[in-house]
Amino acid sequence: MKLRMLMLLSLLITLQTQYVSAAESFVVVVHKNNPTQALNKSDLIDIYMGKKSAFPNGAKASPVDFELESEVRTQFYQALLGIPVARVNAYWSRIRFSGKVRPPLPQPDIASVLNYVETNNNAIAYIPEQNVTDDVKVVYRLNE
Amino acid sequence: MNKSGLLFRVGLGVGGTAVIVALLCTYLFYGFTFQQEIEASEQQANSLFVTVKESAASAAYLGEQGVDLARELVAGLSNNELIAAAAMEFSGLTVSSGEVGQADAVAERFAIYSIFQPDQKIGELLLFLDEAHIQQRAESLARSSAFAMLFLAFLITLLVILAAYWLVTRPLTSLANHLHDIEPGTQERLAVPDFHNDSELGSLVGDINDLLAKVQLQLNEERELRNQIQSLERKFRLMFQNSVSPIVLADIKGNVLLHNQAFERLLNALGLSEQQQHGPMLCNLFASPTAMLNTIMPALKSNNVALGEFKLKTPAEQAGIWVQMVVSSFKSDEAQEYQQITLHDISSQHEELKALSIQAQYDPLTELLNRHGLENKMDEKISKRDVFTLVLFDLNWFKQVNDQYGHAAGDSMLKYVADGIRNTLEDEDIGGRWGGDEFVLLINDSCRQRIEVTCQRLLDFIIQPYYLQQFDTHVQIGASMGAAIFPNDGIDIKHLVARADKAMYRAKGYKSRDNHEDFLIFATDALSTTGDE
Repeated sequence: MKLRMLMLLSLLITLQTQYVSAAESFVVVVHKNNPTQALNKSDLIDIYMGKKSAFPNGAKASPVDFELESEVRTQFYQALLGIPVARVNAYWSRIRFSGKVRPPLPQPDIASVLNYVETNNNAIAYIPEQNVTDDVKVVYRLNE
Repeated sequence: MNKSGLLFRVGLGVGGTAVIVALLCTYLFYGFTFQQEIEASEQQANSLFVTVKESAASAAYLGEQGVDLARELVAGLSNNELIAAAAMEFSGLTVSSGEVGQADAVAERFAIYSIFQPDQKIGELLLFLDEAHIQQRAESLARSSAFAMLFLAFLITLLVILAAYWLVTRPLTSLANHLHDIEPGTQERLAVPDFHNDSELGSLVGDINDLLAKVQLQLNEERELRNQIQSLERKFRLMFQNSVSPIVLADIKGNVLLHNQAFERLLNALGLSEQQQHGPMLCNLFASPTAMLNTIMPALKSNNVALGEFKLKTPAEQAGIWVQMVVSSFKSDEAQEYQQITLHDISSQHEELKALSIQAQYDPLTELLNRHGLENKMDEKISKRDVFTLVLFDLNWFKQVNDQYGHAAGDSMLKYVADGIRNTLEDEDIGGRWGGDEFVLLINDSCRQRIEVTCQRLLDFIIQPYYLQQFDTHVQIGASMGAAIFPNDGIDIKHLVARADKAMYRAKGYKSRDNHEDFLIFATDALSTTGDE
């Protein structure tokens, strides 16, 4: 019974998130000098979820995130993982105590994100597609 | 408590059944509970997995970096009382806690899928259920249910015993005690126990009371009958015991089966001891057994009743005892033949006769009237003009017996004939000894037939073989008779005797030992024949 309730609940949540997801398109950007030309989805997820701390070529990767309550962040994770951002938050709060893995560095807005990427060779960040500048390199497009 | 008692049996039956059912139920319940507990545990394990699914997925996702988290997780899981051990397998790593690999542990395997890519299986969570714990829980449940059921069984048994006691045993015991105290044949009856008016117990009481009533009735009837029989028996015994005459019941061999006090007194008087055997017809008691037997036996055979007067064998110094003997034979219900013998003492009458004989009326040997006595009697009759027949007879072959065996033998023969005369004649008839071996009968009738019958009977008696004890031999004599009727054949003694004598001598011509019809000749016939000559 309990199990069934849980399943029903998760189904409802899934439906809701799918509804929200189609709102915006995102791009993942890195420093212009970063040799990485493109990333696959799996690598991207692993970098953002702390499983991997390097680009496929071995260079250190420093992912950048938005503030916890940011609408952009909510939409990005929904679009990338297909799960509500709350679960991502829960994931981080769960693994934070293990001490080995750190969540991406949060930035207050798109401008500061762009600034961080422009100034950091190892940086990797996501931004809405319309905010892309020529000072950063797009390595992944999230179109849905 | 009585081991065969109803209560004990009911208690044993109900209690035993209840306990068996309770144990059986407990056994089945235990199996069922155990299965259910296992299912419940599996569900609980499932729930546990759902609870930790996200954390497990997070740890498995991180691979080596997630080992700490995984360790923490399995440690937490194995703390659960249901879980004996827990393990996680991911990225080629195994993190476990508790005693993994126990023999009786059931492993529940759950697949871990990636949170971020739900189609990717990234590891497995293994939960080892603590079967011992489950079993313990099932057992504890079964035990409490068993206790509950046993208590219920005990309660039911107790209630059934109580009900049986109140409804059956107590009234039954009281009935049984009451019935035990009731004397059969009295007015007492059983009371129907309370609330049992329409029950089986009630109808049982009714039936018992009916039975008691019947028993009472029958007992009363029987008592009445017994009283009647007893009083009758008392009267008979009085009659039998107080009878002045000796009475004896004997079988045909002469064994005395029953006798009265008078018989005992008689034996005393005869100087005999009390014993069972006195010979057939008590013949050992008689002075002349043969005469008695020859008189009684033929009569008894034809009549079933016989009587005669005989002298008993008394000690020498005592006066003679004369008795009238009455014998009747009868058959019992079992077809056994018995004889009742009654002896009436007629000694006093014979005393009189003896006294008369002293006056020369009687012949001392035969104790019959002598010639003088007979003449007196005839005179009496003639003077009264009473019709009578004079039969004169003398014995044939008597002289030979006398010559061969002596006078004593002859005298005993004469006594034997005298006995025959006494027992052949009717009461009103008179017999006497005329002299020598000549005898006279004075029969109070002139009817030829009656005279012939009487004489025939006498002859039959006389011609029976006579046992001479002294010589141990039998002798046989005969008789020839002549009859003269008063007043037809003569009006005085002289003539009558002469006529009878003549007729007798005629009969002598036919003398024979056989029962010849011409042993008796009437004077009238003799005269006519003489006339013809």
